[in-house]
Amino acid sequence: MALAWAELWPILLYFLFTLTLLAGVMLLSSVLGPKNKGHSTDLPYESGILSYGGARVRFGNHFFLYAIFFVIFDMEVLFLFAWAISLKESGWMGFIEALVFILVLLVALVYLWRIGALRVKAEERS
Amino acid sequence: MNRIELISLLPVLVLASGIMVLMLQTASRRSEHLSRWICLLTLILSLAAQLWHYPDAAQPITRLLAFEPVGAFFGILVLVAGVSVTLIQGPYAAKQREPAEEFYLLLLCSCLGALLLTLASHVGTVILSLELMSLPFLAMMAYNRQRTDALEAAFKYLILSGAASSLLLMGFALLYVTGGTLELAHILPEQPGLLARAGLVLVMAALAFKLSLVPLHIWTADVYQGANLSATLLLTSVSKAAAFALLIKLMLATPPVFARDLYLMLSLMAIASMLLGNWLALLQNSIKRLMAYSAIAHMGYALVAAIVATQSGHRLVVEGAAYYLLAYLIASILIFGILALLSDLGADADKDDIHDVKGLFWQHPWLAVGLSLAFLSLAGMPITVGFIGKFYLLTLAVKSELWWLIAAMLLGSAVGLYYYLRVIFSLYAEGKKGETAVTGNHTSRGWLGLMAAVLLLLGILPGLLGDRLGLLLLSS
Repeated sequence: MALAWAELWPILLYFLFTLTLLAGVMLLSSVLGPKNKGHSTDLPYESGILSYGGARVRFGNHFFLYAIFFVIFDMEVLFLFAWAISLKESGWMGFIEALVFILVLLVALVYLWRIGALRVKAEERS
Repeated sequence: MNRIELISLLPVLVLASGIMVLMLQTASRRSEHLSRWICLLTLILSLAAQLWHYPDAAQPITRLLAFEPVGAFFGILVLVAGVSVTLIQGPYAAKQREPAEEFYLLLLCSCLGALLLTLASHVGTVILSLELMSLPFLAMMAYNRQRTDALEAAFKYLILSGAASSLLLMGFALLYVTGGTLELAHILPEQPGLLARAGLVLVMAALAFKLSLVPLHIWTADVYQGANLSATLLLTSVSKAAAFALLIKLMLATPPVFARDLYLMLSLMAIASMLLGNWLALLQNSIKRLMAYSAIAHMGYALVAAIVATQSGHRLVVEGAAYYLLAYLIASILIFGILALLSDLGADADKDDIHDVKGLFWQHPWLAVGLSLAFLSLAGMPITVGFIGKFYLLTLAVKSELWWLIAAMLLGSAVGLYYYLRVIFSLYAEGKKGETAVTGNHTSRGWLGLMAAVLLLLGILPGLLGDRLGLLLLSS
């Protein structure tokens, strides 16, 4: 038990600090904050605009696809940066490996293009 | 990376290039037929490469992978399961409306992940390949989007497997903090503190999720029931075989100081899995749910081998585990394959209710005989491969004197017999009138016939594989 204590006291201290901080912030804001009760107090806050309609709306997700593609290809360019820095050190072996990597990306791009994932207008998609 | 390393990686390379070929084919001209054959060819070539260049000693390939006998055997299991799914998917999905080609793409990705997991010798590879294996499952589970059950299953699996992955990451992080290495063989430190133990518990919890062992088994039944038959077969074969390979590797590398903790933890999990799994399966009417609970019980049995592995590096440990998983895999392929012949992915639900197969023998005697053989094998009846698998495990447990585990195993098997026989009786009962439609081409039926033949052959002549298995796995 003494051993566990010796190992774990920083974590426990951190935990206690966090707890005190959070409790303190909440306590302070409830003590110091104004307590007005109007008819719009319980409405959801939407930057000053009155909310209307239900929250369950359907929306097109094709921009979501672009975000995903951007993240994927962007991440993969990062790997190429790492290779570019050590171009000379990694030699021909590294060159071939990077080539294979780019080829895989290219195949993925061709696939996405051909299945119509890159078309902007929804009606153009097959 | 030299030539020998490249040759050792050949199965993985074949699979990876197969994926690219399949992507290009789908991009240029869609054809379900062509995709299926490319997928099948890739898997068979990869299997051939795996068999042709079977490792006779552990050999590292860079720091991330290691080519060694135990992993390679589980790799073979993964590829056999992949081939089976490819063969049953064609006729099963003939009438559905989604594009059919992507299923094979996802299947190959998942097999690639599982194969890499069997080769992994580094935490980085483990995480990467585990995700590569699990993520395609989600899309495959909900392949028919019209089925609400399938969407629910995929969603449950997404959230829960995400939670399990985070447990795994946290566990490995804690182990890394104490040990300072990420190589699997040395990740468990020789002088464990509380942090290392906590890390080990988290890692074990994540693996228990993947293997659906008892405290983390709750997802199994719903996911099995909701997902379509091909995805369920993949989940019960590919995912379990690969996760078990990882577990066995971790167990064999356990330093003695951890042995007592692990023994206690895994024993409790195994006993609970065996009893609870079999008990909950008793009243199920859906065969998929029944198979889910039976999977929990069977993983409990297989865990016995892992427990023995922590105790002593017994010669039979790996052999027993490999044989047991092989037996389980063959029986699962038969059951899900035959159900897939009766069902249709385009329909609202699979024909997996016990009443759907009632009296099947009087209409399709061969399918009924195949199903009965598979269920008998799962129950561990003699002259099937399941008996030999259980015999291995019992021998191991008796030699290591794990009496509690043996008691749970016997009790579980006795209870298990009841619900397996219940399905078998229903197959031969007076059935409803009218022909049950059966899909399937010669290849898929031939493959299922082959599986049934192997099931019997290995049950009657266990030495056929057993002797060679020992040599193959233990030469390291």
